[in-house]
Amino acid sequence: MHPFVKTDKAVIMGWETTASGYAAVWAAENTREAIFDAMKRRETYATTGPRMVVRFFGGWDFEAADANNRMPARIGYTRGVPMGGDLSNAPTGKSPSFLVAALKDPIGANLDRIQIIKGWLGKDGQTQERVYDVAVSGGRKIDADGRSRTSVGSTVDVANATWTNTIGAGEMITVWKDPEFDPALRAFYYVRVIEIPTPRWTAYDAKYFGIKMPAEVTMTTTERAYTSPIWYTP
Amino acid sequence: MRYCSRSTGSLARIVNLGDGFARTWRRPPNEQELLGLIEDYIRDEVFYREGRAAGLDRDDVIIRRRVRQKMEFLAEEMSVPEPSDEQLAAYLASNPERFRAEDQITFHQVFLSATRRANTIESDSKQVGSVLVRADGAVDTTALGDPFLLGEEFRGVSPSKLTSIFGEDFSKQIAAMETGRWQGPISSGFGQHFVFISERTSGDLPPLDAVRPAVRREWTNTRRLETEQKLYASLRERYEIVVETPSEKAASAEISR
Repeated sequence: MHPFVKTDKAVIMGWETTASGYAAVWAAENTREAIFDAMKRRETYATTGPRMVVRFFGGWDFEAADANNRMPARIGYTRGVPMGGDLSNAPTGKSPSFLVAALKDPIGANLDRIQIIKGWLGKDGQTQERVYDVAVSGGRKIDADGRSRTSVGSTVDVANATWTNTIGAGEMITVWKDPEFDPALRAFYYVRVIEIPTPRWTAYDAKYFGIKMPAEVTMTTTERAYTSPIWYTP
Repeated sequence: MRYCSRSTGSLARIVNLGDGFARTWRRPPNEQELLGLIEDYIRDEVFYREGRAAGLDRDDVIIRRRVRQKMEFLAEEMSVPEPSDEQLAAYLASNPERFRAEDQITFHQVFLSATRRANTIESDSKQVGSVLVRADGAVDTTALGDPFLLGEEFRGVSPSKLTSIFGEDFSKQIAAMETGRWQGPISSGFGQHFVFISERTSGDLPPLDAVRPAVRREWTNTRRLETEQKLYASLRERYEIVVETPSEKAASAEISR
Protein backbone atom coordinates (compact mmCIF):
# COMPACT_ATOMS: atom_id res chain seq x y z
CA MET A 1 0.00 0.00 0.00
CA HIS A 2 2.61 2.45 -1.09
CA PRO A 3 2.05 5.77 -2.77
CA PHE A 4 3.13 5.85 -6.40
CA VAL A 5 3.21 9.66 -6.27
CA LYS A 6 3.18 11.72 -3.08
CA THR A 7 3.36 15.48 -3.26
CA ASP A 8 1.50 18.30 -1.55
CA LYS A 9 -0.65 18.57 -4.66
CA ALA A 10 -1.78 14.95 -4.74
CA VAL A 11 -1.19 11.44 -3.52
CA ILE A 12 -1.63 8.57 -5.96
CA MET A 13 -1.48 5.13 -4.42
CA GLY A 14 0.18 2.24 -6.26
CA TRP A 15 -3.06 0.29 -6.45
CA GLU A 16 -4.75 3.22 -8.20
CA THR A 17 -2.46 3.02 -11.22
CA THR A 18 -3.27 1.01 -14.29
CA ALA A 19 -1.78 0.24 -17.68
CA SER A 20 -2.40 2.50 -20.65
CA GLY A 21 -3.83 0.12 -23.27
CA TYR A 22 -3.58 -0.15 -27.05
CA ALA A 23 -4.04 2.05 -30.09
CA ALA A 24 -5.81 0.56 -33.11
CA VAL A 25 -5.58 1.75 -36.69
CA TRP A 26 -7.74 1.02 -39.76
CA ALA A 27 -5.13 0.89 -42.51
CA ALA A 28 -5.56 -0.27 -46.09
CA GLU A 29 -2.37 -2.35 -45.87
CA ASN A 30 0.02 -3.57 -43.22
CA THR A 31 2.77 -1.20 -44.33
CA ARG A 32 4.41 1.78 -42.63
CA GLU A 33 3.00 4.15 -45.23
CA ALA A 34 -0.58 2.93 -44.95
CA ILE A 35 -0.51 2.92 -41.15
CA PHE A 36 0.89 6.43 -41.05
CA ASP A 37 -1.69 7.64 -43.57
CA ALA A 38 -4.43 6.17 -41.38
CA MET A 39 -3.07 8.00 -38.35
CA LYS A 40 -2.90 11.23 -40.29
CA ARG A 41 -6.56 10.96 -41.31
CA ARG A 42 -7.39 9.93 -37.72
CA GLU A 43 -8.96 6.60 -38.60
CA THR A 44 -7.91 5.29 -35.22
CA TYR A 45 -9.31 4.18 -31.89
CA ALA A 46 -7.89 3.07 -28.58
CA THR A 47 -8.68 0.49 -25.92
CA THR A 48 -7.75 0.07 -22.29
CA GLY A 49 -6.11 -3.25 -23.17
CA PRO A 50 -8.46 -5.82 -24.76
CA ARG A 51 -8.48 -6.08 -28.55
CA MET A 52 -12.05 -5.17 -29.49
CA VAL A 53 -12.78 -4.45 -33.14
CA VAL A 54 -14.71 -1.20 -33.55
CA ARG A 55 -16.23 0.33 -36.69
CA PHE A 56 -17.79 3.80 -36.77
CA PHE A 57 -19.19 5.67 -39.77
CA GLY A 58 -21.17 8.91 -40.02
CA GLY A 59 -23.30 10.24 -42.87
CA TRP A 60 -26.73 11.49 -43.87
CA ASP A 61 -28.24 8.33 -45.32
CA PHE A 62 -27.70 5.35 -43.05
CA GLU A 63 -30.79 3.24 -42.37
CA ALA A 64 -31.62 0.74 -39.67
CA ALA A 65 -31.41 -2.11 -42.18
CA ASP A 66 -27.74 -1.34 -42.79
CA ALA A 67 -27.04 -3.00 -39.44
CA ASN A 68 -28.05 -6.35 -40.97
CA ASN A 69 -25.81 -6.05 -43.99
CA ARG A 70 -23.11 -8.67 -44.51
CA MET A 71 -20.53 -5.99 -45.32
CA PRO A 72 -21.29 -3.04 -43.07
CA ALA A 73 -17.89 -1.45 -43.61
CA ARG A 74 -18.52 -1.26 -47.35
CA ILE A 75 -21.77 0.59 -46.72
CA GLY A 76 -19.99 2.77 -44.20
CA TYR A 77 -17.27 3.90 -46.56
CA THR A 78 -19.65 4.33 -49.48
CA ARG A 79 -22.33 6.31 -47.72
CA GLY A 80 -20.35 8.13 -45.06
CA VAL A 81 -17.03 8.91 -43.45
CA PRO A 82 -15.14 6.68 -41.03
CA MET A 83 -13.98 7.56 -37.50
CA GLY A 84 -11.80 10.63 -37.62
CA GLY A 85 -13.65 11.99 -40.63
CA ASP A 86 -15.50 15.22 -41.27
CA LEU A 87 -19.14 15.95 -42.07
CA SER A 88 -20.50 19.29 -43.20
CA ASN A 89 -23.11 20.85 -45.50
CA ALA A 90 -26.02 19.12 -43.82
CA PRO A 91 -28.75 18.47 -46.37
CA THR A 92 -31.80 20.50 -45.42
CA GLY A 93 -33.94 18.84 -42.79
CA LYS A 94 -31.57 15.89 -42.26
CA SER A 95 -29.80 14.76 -39.10
CA PRO A 96 -26.59 12.81 -39.24
CA SER A 97 -26.88 9.06 -38.80
CA PHE A 98 -24.14 6.73 -37.63
CA LEU A 99 -23.37 3.09 -38.30
CA VAL A 100 -21.46 1.60 -35.41
CA ALA A 101 -20.33 -1.97 -34.75
CA ALA A 102 -18.15 -3.65 -32.15
CA LEU A 103 -16.76 -7.14 -31.80
CA LYS A 104 -15.34 -8.35 -28.48
CA ASP A 105 -11.74 -9.44 -28.04
CA PRO A 106 -11.84 -13.12 -29.12
CA ILE A 107 -10.47 -14.24 -25.75
CA GLY A 108 -11.83 -11.29 -23.77
CA ALA A 109 -14.99 -10.31 -21.97
CA ASN A 110 -18.38 -9.72 -23.56
CA LEU A 111 -19.63 -6.23 -24.28
CA ASP A 112 -22.13 -4.35 -22.13
CA ARG A 113 -23.03 -1.47 -24.39
CA ILE A 114 -21.99 0.87 -27.18
CA GLN A 115 -22.30 4.59 -26.54
CA ILE A 116 -22.04 7.64 -28.75
CA ILE A 117 -20.87 10.77 -26.99
CA LYS A 118 -21.90 14.00 -28.64
CA GLY A 119 -20.14 17.25 -27.91
CA TRP A 120 -21.22 20.58 -29.34
CA LEU A 121 -20.63 24.27 -29.05
CA GLY A 122 -23.86 25.89 -27.86
CA LYS A 123 -25.24 29.17 -29.12
CA ASP A 124 -23.87 30.78 -25.95
CA GLY A 125 -20.38 29.61 -26.89
CA GLN A 126 -20.31 27.07 -24.05
CA THR A 127 -19.27 23.46 -24.72
CA GLN A 128 -21.80 20.75 -23.98
CA GLU A 129 -21.64 16.97 -23.91
CA ARG A 130 -24.21 14.23 -23.84
CA VAL A 131 -23.87 10.46 -23.67
CA TYR A 132 -26.25 8.21 -25.63
CA ASP A 133 -26.46 4.43 -25.16
CA VAL A 134 -27.00 3.28 -28.73
CA ALA A 135 -26.78 -0.50 -28.30
CA VAL A 136 -27.04 -2.60 -25.17
CA SER A 137 -26.77 -6.35 -24.64
CA GLY A 138 -29.53 -8.68 -23.57
CA GLY A 139 -32.44 -6.65 -24.93
CA ARG A 140 -32.37 -4.13 -22.08
CA LYS A 141 -34.51 -1.07 -22.63
CA ILE A 142 -33.03 2.22 -23.79
CA ASP A 143 -35.17 5.06 -22.39
CA ALA A 144 -36.51 7.91 -24.46
CA ASP A 145 -33.64 10.11 -23.30
CA GLY A 146 -31.15 7.70 -24.86
CA ARG A 147 -29.90 6.06 -21.65
CA SER A 148 -30.29 2.47 -20.54
CA ARG A 149 -30.50 2.45 -16.80
CA THR A 150 -30.47 -1.30 -16.36
CA SER A 151 -27.03 -2.49 -15.32
CA VAL A 152 -25.57 -5.47 -17.19
CA GLY A 153 -24.64 -6.99 -13.83
CA SER A 154 -21.38 -8.66 -12.94
CA THR A 155 -20.04 -12.19 -12.98
CA VAL A 156 -16.78 -11.27 -11.28
CA ASP A 157 -15.62 -13.60 -8.49
CA VAL A 158 -13.11 -11.28 -6.83
CA ALA A 159 -11.60 -13.88 -4.52
CA ASN A 160 -10.72 -16.16 -7.44
CA ALA A 161 -10.13 -13.35 -9.94
CA THR A 162 -12.44 -14.91 -12.53
CA TRP A 163 -15.44 -13.89 -14.60
CA THR A 164 -17.74 -15.65 -17.09
CA ASN A 165 -19.22 -14.49 -20.38
CA THR A 166 -22.73 -15.46 -19.35
CA ILE A 167 -23.82 -11.81 -19.52
CA GLY A 168 -23.23 -9.23 -22.22
CA ALA A 169 -22.90 -9.72 -25.97
CA GLY A 170 -20.06 -10.90 -28.18
CA GLU A 171 -20.91 -8.35 -30.85
CA MET A 172 -23.26 -5.44 -31.47
CA ILE A 173 -24.15 -3.35 -34.50
CA THR A 174 -26.64 -0.56 -34.90
CA VAL A 175 -27.57 2.61 -36.73
CA TRP A 176 -28.29 5.69 -34.62
CA LYS A 177 -29.54 9.09 -35.64
CA ASP A 178 -28.93 12.26 -33.64
CA PRO A 179 -32.34 13.23 -32.17
CA GLU A 180 -31.24 16.79 -31.30
CA PHE A 181 -29.30 17.94 -34.31
CA ASP A 182 -28.88 21.64 -34.94
CA PRO A 183 -27.14 22.21 -38.29
CA ALA A 184 -25.94 25.64 -37.15
CA LEU A 185 -23.79 24.32 -34.30
CA ARG A 186 -20.35 22.71 -34.49
CA ALA A 187 -20.33 19.21 -33.00
CA PHE A 188 -18.36 15.98 -32.66
CA TYR A 189 -19.45 12.40 -32.11
CA TYR A 190 -17.28 9.57 -30.82
CA VAL A 191 -17.96 5.96 -29.85
CA ARG A 192 -17.26 4.26 -26.57
CA VAL A 193 -17.59 0.47 -26.22
CA ILE A 194 -17.80 -0.86 -22.68
CA GLU A 195 -17.17 -4.43 -21.55
CA ILE A 196 -18.90 -6.28 -18.73
CA PRO A 197 -17.04 -6.06 -15.41
CA THR A 198 -13.84 -8.09 -15.14
CA PRO A 199 -11.27 -8.58 -12.36
CA ARG A 200 -8.77 -5.77 -12.10
CA TRP A 201 -5.03 -6.43 -11.86
CA THR A 202 -5.33 -5.88 -8.11
CA ALA A 203 -7.64 -8.92 -7.88
CA TYR A 204 -5.26 -11.10 -9.92
CA ASP A 205 -2.33 -10.05 -7.74
CA ALA A 206 -4.27 -10.61 -4.52
CA LYS A 207 -5.14 -14.14 -5.64
CA TYR A 208 -1.62 -14.94 -6.85
CA PHE A 209 0.15 -13.67 -3.74
CA GLY A 210 -2.56 -14.80 -1.33
CA ILE A 211 -3.03 -11.41 0.28
CA LYS A 212 -6.09 -9.51 1.39
CA MET A 213 -6.40 -6.02 -0.04
CA PRO A 214 -7.75 -3.19 2.13
CA ALA A 215 -11.39 -2.26 1.57
CA GLU A 216 -10.67 0.88 -0.43
CA VAL A 217 -8.79 -0.92 -3.20
CA THR A 218 -10.73 -1.24 -6.48
CA MET A 219 -10.91 -4.88 -7.50
CA THR A 220 -13.05 -4.86 -10.64
CA THR A 221 -12.90 -2.79 -13.79
CA THR A 222 -14.85 -2.22 -17.02
CA GLU A 223 -12.49 -2.19 -19.98
CA ARG A 224 -13.43 0.02 -22.91
CA ALA A 225 -12.63 1.18 -26.41
CA TYR A 226 -13.01 4.74 -27.65
CA THR A 227 -12.77 6.07 -31.19
CA SER A 228 -11.57 9.21 -32.90
CA PRO A 229 -14.53 11.55 -33.27
CA ILE A 230 -16.43 12.34 -36.45
CA TRP A 231 -16.54 16.12 -36.70
CA TYR A 232 -19.50 18.15 -37.91
CA THR A 233 -18.89 21.67 -39.17
CA PRO A 234 -21.84 23.77 -40.35
CA MET B 1 48.88 23.83 0.44
CA ARG B 2 47.34 25.04 -2.68
CA TYR B 3 47.33 23.22 -5.96
CA CYS B 4 46.49 24.51 -9.31
CA SER B 5 45.08 22.43 -12.07
CA ARG B 6 44.77 23.40 -15.67
CA SER B 7 41.44 22.89 -17.30
CA THR B 8 41.58 23.07 -21.04
CA GLY B 9 39.09 25.10 -22.97
CA SER B 10 40.87 24.60 -26.21
CA LEU B 11 39.57 25.77 -29.53
CA ALA B 12 39.10 22.23 -30.75
CA ARG B 13 36.97 21.42 -27.72
CA ILE B 14 34.86 24.53 -28.25
CA VAL B 15 34.21 23.62 -31.87
CA ASN B 16 33.23 20.17 -30.67
CA LEU B 17 30.69 21.61 -28.25
CA GLY B 18 29.23 23.78 -31.00
CA ASP B 19 28.89 20.81 -33.35
CA GLY B 20 27.15 18.80 -30.67
CA PHE B 21 24.67 21.63 -30.17
CA ALA B 22 24.06 21.95 -33.92
CA ARG B 23 23.31 18.25 -34.25
CA THR B 24 20.40 18.62 -31.84
CA TRP B 25 19.17 22.11 -32.72
CA ARG B 26 19.94 22.13 -36.47
CA ARG B 27 21.72 25.47 -36.14
CA PRO B 28 24.95 26.67 -34.53
CA PRO B 29 24.71 28.06 -30.99
CA ASN B 30 24.56 31.81 -30.56
CA GLU B 31 27.17 33.56 -28.43
CA GLN B 32 25.23 33.26 -25.19
CA GLU B 33 24.49 29.59 -25.78
CA LEU B 34 28.11 28.87 -26.61
CA LEU B 35 29.32 30.57 -23.44
CA GLY B 36 26.82 28.43 -21.54
CA LEU B 37 28.14 25.27 -23.18
CA ILE B 38 31.75 26.20 -22.34
CA GLU B 39 30.88 27.03 -18.74
CA ASP B 40 29.03 23.75 -18.39
CA TYR B 41 31.98 21.83 -19.86
CA ILE B 42 34.34 23.48 -17.37
CA ARG B 43 31.98 22.54 -14.55
CA ASP B 44 31.92 18.94 -15.84
CA GLU B 45 35.71 18.80 -15.95
CA VAL B 46 36.25 20.31 -12.49
CA PHE B 47 33.82 17.93 -10.82
CA TYR B 48 35.11 14.96 -12.80
CA ARG B 49 38.75 15.55 -11.80
CA GLU B 50 37.90 16.18 -8.17
CA GLY B 51 35.56 13.20 -8.12
CA ARG B 52 38.16 10.83 -9.51
CA ALA B 53 40.74 12.14 -7.06
CA ALA B 54 38.31 11.35 -4.28
CA GLY B 55 37.80 7.85 -5.67
CA LEU B 56 34.13 8.37 -6.48
CA ASP B 57 34.47 6.33 -9.68
CA ARG B 58 35.32 3.17 -7.80
CA ASP B 59 32.70 0.65 -6.59
CA ASP B 60 30.00 2.37 -8.64
CA VAL B 61 27.81 -0.16 -10.46
CA ILE B 62 26.72 2.30 -13.13
CA ILE B 63 30.26 3.37 -13.95
CA ARG B 64 31.43 -0.27 -14.04
CA ARG B 65 28.63 -1.19 -16.41
CA ARG B 66 29.34 1.77 -18.67
CA VAL B 67 33.02 0.84 -18.93
CA ARG B 68 32.07 -2.76 -19.68
CA GLN B 69 29.66 -1.53 -22.33
CA LYS B 70 32.41 0.54 -23.96
CA MET B 71 34.66 -2.52 -24.05
CA GLU B 72 31.87 -4.52 -25.66
CA PHE B 73 31.42 -1.77 -28.25
CA LEU B 74 35.08 -2.19 -29.12
CA ALA B 75 34.36 -5.80 -29.99
CA GLU B 76 31.40 -4.70 -32.11
CA GLU B 77 33.52 -2.22 -33.98
CA MET B 78 35.97 -4.91 -35.02
CA SER B 79 34.56 -5.04 -38.46
CA VAL B 80 32.90 -8.12 -39.72
CA PRO B 81 33.73 -8.68 -43.41
CA GLU B 82 30.94 -8.57 -45.99
CA PRO B 83 29.56 -12.08 -46.44
CA SER B 84 29.73 -13.82 -49.77
CA ASP B 85 26.69 -15.30 -51.48
CA GLU B 86 27.94 -18.79 -50.60
CA GLN B 87 28.17 -17.90 -46.93
CA LEU B 88 24.67 -16.38 -46.96
CA ALA B 89 23.18 -19.37 -48.79
CA ALA B 90 24.79 -21.74 -46.30
CA TYR B 91 23.44 -19.72 -43.38
CA LEU B 92 19.95 -19.69 -44.89
CA ALA B 93 20.04 -23.45 -45.45
CA SER B 94 21.17 -24.21 -41.90
CA ASN B 95 18.69 -21.85 -40.18
CA PRO B 96 15.48 -22.42 -42.13
CA GLU B 97 13.11 -21.75 -39.22
CA ARG B 98 14.28 -18.15 -38.95
CA PHE B 99 13.38 -17.31 -42.52
CA ARG B 100 10.51 -19.59 -43.44
CA ALA B 101 7.32 -17.80 -44.48
CA GLU B 102 4.18 -18.63 -42.52
CA ASP B 103 1.66 -21.15 -43.82
CA GLN B 104 -1.37 -19.59 -45.45
CA ILE B 105 -4.96 -20.68 -45.61
CA THR B 106 -7.86 -19.49 -47.77
CA PHE B 107 -11.36 -20.32 -46.59
CA HIS B 108 -14.89 -19.10 -46.27
CA GLN B 109 -17.09 -19.54 -43.30
CA VAL B 110 -20.69 -19.73 -42.19
CA PHE B 111 -20.95 -18.05 -38.81
CA LEU B 112 -23.52 -18.66 -36.09
CA SER B 113 -23.49 -15.90 -33.52
CA ALA B 114 -23.70 -16.91 -29.86
CA THR B 115 -25.10 -13.45 -29.20
CA ARG B 116 -27.93 -13.55 -31.74
CA ARG B 117 -28.79 -17.19 -31.07
CA ALA B 118 -28.30 -17.34 -27.32
CA ASN B 119 -30.86 -20.07 -26.75
CA THR B 120 -30.95 -21.80 -30.10
CA ILE B 121 -27.37 -22.08 -31.22
CA GLU B 122 -27.08 -25.84 -30.69
CA SER B 123 -30.14 -26.70 -32.76
CA ASP B 124 -29.38 -24.01 -35.36
CA SER B 125 -25.90 -25.42 -35.66
CA LYS B 126 -27.20 -28.95 -36.30
CA GLN B 127 -29.55 -27.62 -38.92
CA VAL B 128 -26.91 -25.62 -40.78
CA GLY B 129 -24.53 -28.55 -40.49
CA SER B 130 -26.96 -30.88 -42.20
CA VAL B 131 -27.41 -28.43 -45.08
CA LEU B 132 -23.68 -27.97 -45.56
CA VAL B 133 -22.73 -31.62 -45.36
CA ARG B 134 -24.67 -32.17 -48.57
CA ALA B 135 -23.23 -29.07 -50.23
CA ASP B 136 -19.97 -28.45 -52.03
CA GLY B 137 -17.85 -25.34 -52.38
CA ALA B 138 -20.05 -23.94 -55.12
CA VAL B 139 -23.17 -23.62 -53.01
CA ASP B 140 -24.30 -20.11 -52.19
CA THR B 141 -24.07 -19.75 -48.45
CA THR B 142 -24.66 -16.01 -48.30
CA ALA B 143 -28.10 -16.51 -46.81
CA LEU B 144 -26.90 -18.95 -44.17
CA GLY B 145 -25.85 -18.00 -40.68
CA ASP B 146 -25.17 -14.53 -39.37
CA PRO B 147 -23.07 -11.58 -40.54
CA PHE B 148 -19.57 -11.49 -39.09
CA LEU B 149 -17.99 -8.06 -38.74
CA LEU B 150 -14.71 -9.20 -40.25
CA GLY B 151 -16.42 -10.96 -43.13
CA GLU B 152 -16.90 -14.44 -44.47
CA GLU B 153 -13.99 -14.66 -46.90
CA PHE B 154 -10.44 -15.07 -45.70
CA ARG B 155 -7.63 -15.20 -48.26
CA GLY B 156 -4.08 -16.28 -47.55
CA VAL B 157 -4.33 -15.83 -43.79
CA SER B 158 -1.52 -17.08 -41.56
CA PRO B 159 -2.07 -19.09 -38.34
CA SER B 160 -0.85 -16.18 -36.24
CA LYS B 161 -3.36 -13.86 -37.92
CA LEU B 162 -6.14 -16.39 -37.36
CA THR B 163 -5.23 -16.54 -33.69
CA SER B 164 -5.42 -12.78 -33.37
CA ILE B 165 -8.85 -12.70 -35.05
CA PHE B 166 -10.55 -15.81 -33.66
CA GLY B 167 -8.40 -17.00 -30.77
CA GLU B 168 -5.93 -19.87 -30.50
CA ASP B 169 -8.48 -22.69 -30.23
CA PHE B 170 -10.01 -21.81 -33.58
CA SER B 171 -6.62 -21.54 -35.22
CA LYS B 172 -5.58 -24.96 -33.88
CA GLN B 173 -8.80 -26.65 -34.96
CA ILE B 174 -8.69 -25.25 -38.47
CA ALA B 175 -5.06 -26.32 -38.82
CA ALA B 176 -6.18 -29.94 -38.60
CA MET B 177 -8.92 -29.69 -41.25
CA GLU B 178 -8.93 -30.89 -44.84
CA THR B 179 -9.52 -28.76 -47.87
CA GLY B 180 -12.41 -28.98 -50.28
CA ARG B 181 -15.41 -29.65 -48.08
CA TRP B 182 -17.56 -28.00 -45.44
CA GLN B 183 -16.50 -28.91 -41.95
CA GLY B 184 -17.36 -27.91 -38.43
CA PRO B 185 -18.73 -26.49 -36.34
CA ILE B 186 -15.67 -25.18 -34.56
CA SER B 187 -16.17 -22.74 -31.76
CA SER B 188 -14.64 -19.41 -30.89
CA GLY B 189 -15.43 -16.72 -28.39
CA PHE B 190 -17.94 -15.37 -30.92
CA GLY B 191 -19.99 -18.49 -31.55
CA GLN B 192 -19.71 -21.36 -34.00
CA HIS B 193 -18.17 -21.54 -37.43
CA PHE B 194 -18.48 -23.89 -40.38
CA VAL B 195 -15.51 -23.58 -42.71
CA PHE B 196 -14.71 -24.51 -46.30
CA ILE B 197 -10.99 -24.43 -46.86
CA SER B 198 -10.27 -23.94 -50.54
CA GLU B 199 -6.51 -23.60 -50.39
CA ARG B 200 -3.61 -24.25 -48.10
CA THR B 201 -0.06 -23.19 -48.91
CA SER B 202 2.76 -24.24 -46.64
CA GLY B 203 5.37 -21.70 -45.72
CA ASP B 204 8.25 -22.39 -48.04
CA LEU B 205 11.85 -21.48 -47.49
CA PRO B 206 12.22 -18.41 -49.72
CA PRO B 207 15.14 -18.14 -52.17
CA LEU B 208 18.13 -16.09 -50.98
CA ASP B 209 17.29 -13.14 -53.22
CA ALA B 210 13.90 -12.72 -51.55
CA VAL B 211 15.33 -12.51 -48.03
CA ARG B 212 18.89 -11.34 -48.58
CA PRO B 213 18.76 -8.30 -46.20
CA ALA B 214 17.38 -10.41 -43.36
CA VAL B 215 19.89 -13.22 -43.89
CA ARG B 216 22.78 -10.75 -44.06
CA ARG B 217 21.61 -9.10 -40.86
CA GLU B 218 21.33 -12.41 -38.99
CA TRP B 219 24.64 -13.70 -40.35
CA THR B 220 26.42 -10.46 -39.35
CA ASN B 221 24.88 -10.61 -35.89
CA THR B 222 26.01 -14.20 -35.40
CA ARG B 223 29.58 -13.25 -36.43
CA ARG B 224 29.51 -10.28 -34.07
CA LEU B 225 28.47 -12.44 -31.12
CA GLU B 226 31.29 -14.87 -31.95
CA THR B 227 33.81 -12.01 -32.05
CA GLU B 228 32.61 -10.67 -28.70
CA GLN B 229 32.92 -14.08 -27.15
CA LYS B 230 36.46 -14.53 -28.54
CA LEU B 231 37.51 -11.13 -27.21
CA TYR B 232 36.14 -11.90 -23.76
CA ALA B 233 37.79 -15.32 -23.73
CA SER B 234 41.18 -13.88 -24.67
CA LEU B 235 40.96 -11.17 -22.02
CA ARG B 236 39.81 -13.56 -19.34
CA GLU B 237 42.79 -15.80 -20.00
CA ARG B 238 45.03 -13.12 -18.54
CA TYR B 239 43.50 -13.48 -15.07
CA GLU B 240 43.67 -16.00 -12.28
CA ILE B 241 40.19 -16.26 -10.89
CA VAL B 242 39.44 -17.70 -7.46
CA VAL B 243 35.87 -18.27 -6.28
CA GLU B 244 35.40 -19.14 -2.62
CA THR B 245 32.78 -21.80 -2.01
CA PRO B 246 29.99 -21.13 0.54
CA SER B 247 31.60 -23.58 2.99
CA GLU B 248 34.25 -20.96 3.62
CA LYS B 249 33.51 -17.91 5.69
CA ALA B 250 32.25 -15.57 3.01
CA ALA B 251 31.35 -16.45 -0.53
CA SER B 252 33.34 -13.98 -2.54
CA ALA B 253 35.01 -13.80 -5.89
CA GLU B 254 38.53 -12.58 -5.95
CA ILE B 255 40.26 -11.77 -9.16
CA SER B 256 43.98 -11.27 -9.39
CA ARG B 257 46.07 -10.52 -12.36
